[in-house]
Amino acid sequence: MLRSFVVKNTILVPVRFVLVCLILTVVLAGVYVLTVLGETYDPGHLPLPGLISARIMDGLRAVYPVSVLLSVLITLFTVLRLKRFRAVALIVVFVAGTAAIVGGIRGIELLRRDSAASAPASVAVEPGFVYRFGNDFLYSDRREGVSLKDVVVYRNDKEPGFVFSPEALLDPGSGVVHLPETDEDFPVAKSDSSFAHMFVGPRVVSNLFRDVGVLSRALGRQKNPLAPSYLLLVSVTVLFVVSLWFLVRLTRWPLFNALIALGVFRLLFLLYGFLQSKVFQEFMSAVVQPAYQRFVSPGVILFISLVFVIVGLLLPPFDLWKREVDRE
Amino acid sequence: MSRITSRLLTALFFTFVAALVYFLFLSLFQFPIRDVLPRYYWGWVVANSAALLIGAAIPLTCTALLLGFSLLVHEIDLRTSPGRGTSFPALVRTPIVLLLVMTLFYVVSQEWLLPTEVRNRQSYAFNSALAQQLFDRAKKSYDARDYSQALTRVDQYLAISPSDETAQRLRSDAISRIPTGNPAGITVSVAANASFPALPVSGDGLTVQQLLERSAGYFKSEDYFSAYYYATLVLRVDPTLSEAQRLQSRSLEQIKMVDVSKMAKAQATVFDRKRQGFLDLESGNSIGAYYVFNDLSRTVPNDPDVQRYLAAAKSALEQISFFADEITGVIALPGIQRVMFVNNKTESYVELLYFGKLVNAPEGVYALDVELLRFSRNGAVQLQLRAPYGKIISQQLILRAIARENTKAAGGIRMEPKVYAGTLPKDTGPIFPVLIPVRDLETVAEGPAQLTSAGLVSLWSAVKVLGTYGYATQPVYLEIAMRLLLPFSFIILSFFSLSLGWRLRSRYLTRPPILAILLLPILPIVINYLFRLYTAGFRSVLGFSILYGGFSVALAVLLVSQVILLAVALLSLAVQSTE
Repeated sequence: MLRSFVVKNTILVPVRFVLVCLILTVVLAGVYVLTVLGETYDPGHLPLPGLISARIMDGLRAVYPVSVLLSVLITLFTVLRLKRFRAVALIVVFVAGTAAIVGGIRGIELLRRDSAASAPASVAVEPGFVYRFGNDFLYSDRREGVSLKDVVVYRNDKEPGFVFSPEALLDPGSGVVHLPETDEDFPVAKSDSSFAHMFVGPRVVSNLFRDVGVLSRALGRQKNPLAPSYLLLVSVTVLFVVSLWFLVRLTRWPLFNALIALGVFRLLFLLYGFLQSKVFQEFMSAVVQPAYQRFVSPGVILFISLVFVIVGLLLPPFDLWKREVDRE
Repeated sequence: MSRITSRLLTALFFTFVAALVYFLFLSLFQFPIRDVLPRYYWGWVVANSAALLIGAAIPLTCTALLLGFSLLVHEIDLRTSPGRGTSFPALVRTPIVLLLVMTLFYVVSQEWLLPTEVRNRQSYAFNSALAQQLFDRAKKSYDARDYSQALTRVDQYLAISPSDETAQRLRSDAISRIPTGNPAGITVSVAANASFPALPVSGDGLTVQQLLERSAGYFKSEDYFSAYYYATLVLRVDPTLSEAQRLQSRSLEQIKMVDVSKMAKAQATVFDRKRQGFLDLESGNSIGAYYVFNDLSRTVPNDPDVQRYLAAAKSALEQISFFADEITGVIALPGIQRVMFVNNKTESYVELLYFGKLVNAPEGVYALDVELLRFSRNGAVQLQLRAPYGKIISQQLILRAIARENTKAAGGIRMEPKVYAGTLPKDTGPIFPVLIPVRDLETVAEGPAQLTSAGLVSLWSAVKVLGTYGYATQPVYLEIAMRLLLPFSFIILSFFSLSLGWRLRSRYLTRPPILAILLLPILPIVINYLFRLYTAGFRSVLGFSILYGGFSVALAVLLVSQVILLAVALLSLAVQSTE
């Protein structure tokens, strides 16, 4: 009976983890792909299914690590329901999370390598529209492939400001319009009247995406997933999320616990962004030998995770908490 | 009122009051002291706080519901509620109705109050900049000993900032320095702002017959300027009246034929100048005529002919030019900055216009740094010009500025556009139609990125405007879709909060520990994050739908997704246990 209980719970937790991870990956990757397709909207290019397949691998690689980490956090609430063997379940979650990131990223990399559909992002320039770049403007009347015809640029600091060019060239990959006559470049994606600008959210969201992007790139763009430093970073990051266990049972008010855990989860990305910031890296290069510098960020995350684990051990017994919350 | 409803109202009240206090404090410190006058301090703080509160209404309502149902409402409240023993949704029927009413309030606030508060905030900044400019100009005029002008400016400034003691002192000083025996300073100031009746429109309240008789009378008494004037007025009413035509042409002949050698020298000089101005006006040289009559108005200020034809010349020149000093009076005022748009697009050419700055002042619409480029559809520049100043009258952009006073012998100072390519049209000169109304130009200048605070009606009209003048309309459609999402979000997220709050309710018999209470302010921050992520997700989905399928597809996606989410939200309410 004990064995079946252990087996049942040992299976239940990873199954839930995988399910949540799958759902989150699909939803987040879907939103990511739609955003990228919107930012790079070009009515004259590939049909939509082709565009989606071209972007899906990029989307998976971008959101997968975050999906796994978020799934680990959500699975902690499943562990809360267990009556016994929670430590085992937490270890299972930790192992599953680490393996999911390492294995998943390896798989995505293989798929990306095999997939010919993967394509660089392209940015469109719609003829007949005015694109604004701060105080400067760009207008083209017609477009033939990557060639823009009858292009007018207004440069605020020139006199006359208008410059007419019969032709300009668009680099769809970078979204830069190059004017051969004046040898100037205009990155259309940065124009505040471009389609890409439609997808810029409020500052809190932009900051969150920026911070998430730093960790996501570190976890998701690894050519060799078995490299020790990469494995260390993945494992300490998952450990950090698992160590939030103490927060999900901090009080007898589950809503408070959940929201606080989410708040601290967000701080993980902020922390990693800070650890990768130029200021911190310069500081580290001054005080830590170059050979050990790559271990600083995982080391800081590991230290905080261990503090959280110790705090969790100092909390009142879990059974007492469970009895009070479940009113048993 | 049931205990559940009263507790929910308590949670809503305290959450919104706490948020308002927070936003007020935030606004107190965010006040842009360099850009906004101190007298607008409280107005700005209130407007900013209200705008922030409305913008955060959904996460705040969710916070109140989550806190209310997880902390304040207990099982005992449900058990003792009327209709106990029934389902959870039945027990929270009143809160649900309350949420629906709140949604209506939210929509009204979002569409009416928020744009109003944002406009108020902008107008405080606008008026402050205007006041600063007026005060600077008043001081400059005072320093230049032009006290009547300084008085005019400082009065305008005091209309905005009446309690400014420095300005009041400046006003007193200016009044004391205007010579009492010489009211000319004030007269000139008034005259400059007064609108003289133009020749073709003033009939002095007389009938056609009376005007005709007056013309004939003046002709008999050899006052040919007056005879011509009244005959012209008659012809404005009835151009076919042959008697008036005869009087007009004979008066003109007589004006040309009068021999000034028989007159006294001073009289002859005046007559000769009047005739020159008159003939200039007749031949279409209204600028030359203006300068002649303007000079004469000083020599013979009481001559009615001079006053009449000065007004007529001024009226005519305003159709083809404007005074440069008008620009210096208004261009420092706040206005639209740096806007380029497609002014005209035909099968044969495309015309682009750029304004460095555009001021919609009470005196008119003025532009600074105007540049125009017209190119043919076969890729050749037809016309390119740049003018330092421009004035828009009746959707005509006039690019010729002249000096008010004739400081040079030949026709005064003119500022004409510099032509880089092509030639000015022979018939109209430097006058070009601006097809876009000025109010639409403001929308174009703001661009789609700045429309987040506009109401739905404004957004809908912006779609038509932006599309016509060379800007993408999809961003505005997205803003409309996002605006439509908000009331749905209010209801759906409220229902989710209600059910989640109850499901994850506090198990403490009394209050939670101090640590949890101290950390309570973190909860609305986290909920705000979640709400912003929710809307960012929809922004991506709806933006994609608009770009790849159009606005109708986006609306369909919006409706279907909201129906599904609403069903899930209602289901989440239905499955809650009351035990």
